[in-house]
Amino acid sequence: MTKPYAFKDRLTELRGRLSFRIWLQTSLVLFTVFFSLLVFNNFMVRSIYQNQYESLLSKAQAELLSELTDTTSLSQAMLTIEKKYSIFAISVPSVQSEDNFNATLRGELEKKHLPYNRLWIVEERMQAVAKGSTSLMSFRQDNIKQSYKALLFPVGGQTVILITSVVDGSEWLELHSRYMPLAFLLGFVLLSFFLWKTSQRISQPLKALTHMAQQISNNHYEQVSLQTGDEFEMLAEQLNSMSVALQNYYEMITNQNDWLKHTLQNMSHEMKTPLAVLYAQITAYRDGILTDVNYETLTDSVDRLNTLIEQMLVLASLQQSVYKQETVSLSDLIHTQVAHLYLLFEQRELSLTLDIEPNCVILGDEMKLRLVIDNLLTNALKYATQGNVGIRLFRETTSQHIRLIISNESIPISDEDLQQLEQPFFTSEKSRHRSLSGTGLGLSQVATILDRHGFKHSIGYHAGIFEYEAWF
Amino acid sequence: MSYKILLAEDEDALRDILKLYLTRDGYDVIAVRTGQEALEAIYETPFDAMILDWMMPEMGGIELVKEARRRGLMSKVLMITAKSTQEDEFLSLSSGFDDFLRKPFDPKILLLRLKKLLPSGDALISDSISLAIHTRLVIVQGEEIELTTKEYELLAFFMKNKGRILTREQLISGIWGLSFEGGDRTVDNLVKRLRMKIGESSIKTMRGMGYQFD
Repeated sequence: MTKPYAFKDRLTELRGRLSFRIWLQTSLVLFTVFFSLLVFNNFMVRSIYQNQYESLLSKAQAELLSELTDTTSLSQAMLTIEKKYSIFAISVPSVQSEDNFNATLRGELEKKHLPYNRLWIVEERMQAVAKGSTSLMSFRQDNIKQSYKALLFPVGGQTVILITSVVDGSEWLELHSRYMPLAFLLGFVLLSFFLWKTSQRISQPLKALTHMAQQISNNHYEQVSLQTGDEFEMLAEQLNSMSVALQNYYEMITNQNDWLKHTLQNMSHEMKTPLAVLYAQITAYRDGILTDVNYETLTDSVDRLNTLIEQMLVLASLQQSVYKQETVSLSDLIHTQVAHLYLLFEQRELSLTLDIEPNCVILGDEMKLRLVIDNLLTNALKYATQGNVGIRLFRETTSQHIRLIISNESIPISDEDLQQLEQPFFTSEKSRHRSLSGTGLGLSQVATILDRHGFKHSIGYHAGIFEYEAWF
Repeated sequence: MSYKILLAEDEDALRDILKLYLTRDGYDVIAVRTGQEALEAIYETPFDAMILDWMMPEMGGIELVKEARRRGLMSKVLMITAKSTQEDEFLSLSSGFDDFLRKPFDPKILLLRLKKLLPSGDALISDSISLAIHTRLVIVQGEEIELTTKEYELLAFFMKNKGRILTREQLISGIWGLSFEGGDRTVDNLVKRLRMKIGESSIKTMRGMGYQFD
């Protein structure tokens, strides 16, 4: 039951395919050409063939008549056209009996060694020609598969007879008509088959390109490989580079979206914590749970909210503001910042090891680079578990880049957390320590400033040591 | 006897205020600051309910509950968090929490939610047994009976989880706390003594699984 429907569906599908359409249209053209040829062969070739000889004789007649002048005799004119048209021209006096006429004609033919003994002009034809009309006749010779055409017309008192032999094509034509349809059918089938293959070859690359376009619209940025050596290959190359560009663009947008989503989520989370404290405090006063107003804890929550918003604004301005290009001595900058924080390091009983190469000068925005150093040192101060904090600044001998490494002992950090450390507000769950941690924006500010300058940076954790590296 | 509540929250001000609210409503509250402290507390004492912050130093709420549930803890757990997405709520409710409350919240809402999680009323009542929570008075078929502290706690635990099959592990965590090392025999003996006092039929032994109170 399902078969006719399946066939119908298949047909509908085929009709929508380019290869099928090319095949169908060209096949129709071929068929029409073959059919016309058949009709032409069967019905028209014979008469055209005959007409050709008749018109030859008519032309010879016309030329003969025009050749006849006062100076040119009939026999001279006949010689001229005999040569020109490869025909025979004979003249016989018009007025005589049928037998005499034909005897004279036979004599003239014999002079020209023409054995046309079957050529006999009957009385009526003689009379008609003598009266001025032109007459055309055909005759055959025995044992010779050839026929002849004769054109009779009067010139003065003479009847001129122009004779041409007609190649007899009737047998050939018959054979031709019999086998032609079969040959045409075979030719049509073969041609149609090759056409189908060719049209499929044309549509194959299109199929591959269509598939690729579908995949791209589903965010699968594939590459297509076509070695057709034609416009399709060029198109495929263009599409491939477009696919790569789209993929990069898509990834960039996705990353930005993710960043924004995470930042918003984390920011609302960070804001909710002090808000929750404030809210609980206020309700506690309302419900009489707390009676003495503790202004310190109240303002602490408000301060936290305020700092958070300020730091977020700093991050936003770091992403948008114009960066100066001035000469900055990183060596001096680090020494200054270390001097600012030295007491705090001492308070936490952390030792500082400085290995600063002098005169490490770079081009950049000094204020912002100061923030980078300050944030990195403050981070080390907050999160170093114990012992030593190392600061190294040196010029790499191979690349001539200036490299900064700040390292401190740290609680274990998972690879997953490590990757997220530069996300705004990210603080590892295990390292949450309210008394120490700030807003969670320090490393994002550092990353933003270094990125905007075009400086590379990386974070690593190995065997209990946390390391921040930057290349200037 | 009042319900024992564990409160774990790293924000000092919030923790203090919530503790005040809970104590005023008659709960017996132990308040801790970190996940590690909370884990130590549930090893020591069985709690009727726990109020946990998601993000805490050392060990987060989710990790804590997963660990405790794995060890047979049956207490009700309420999550309080500043995380606000639906995915967060889904994650917490599917990780063994019974309820979820977003910060900031009115402490009165927290009290209502907590009350709904705990068995209602002052008394637990079954077909022939009634148990008054505050006075520890137990009446079986119209007659008052005497129970030891552990027998009382076992009966209360059974009645709170009426109809459920309780493993020996769950009974231990509900009555002695997770750190108890007395073994299954202690549980079996206690059940045996309780059966003698309240009647054999109310506590069924489910072979290979544990006990069921009906």
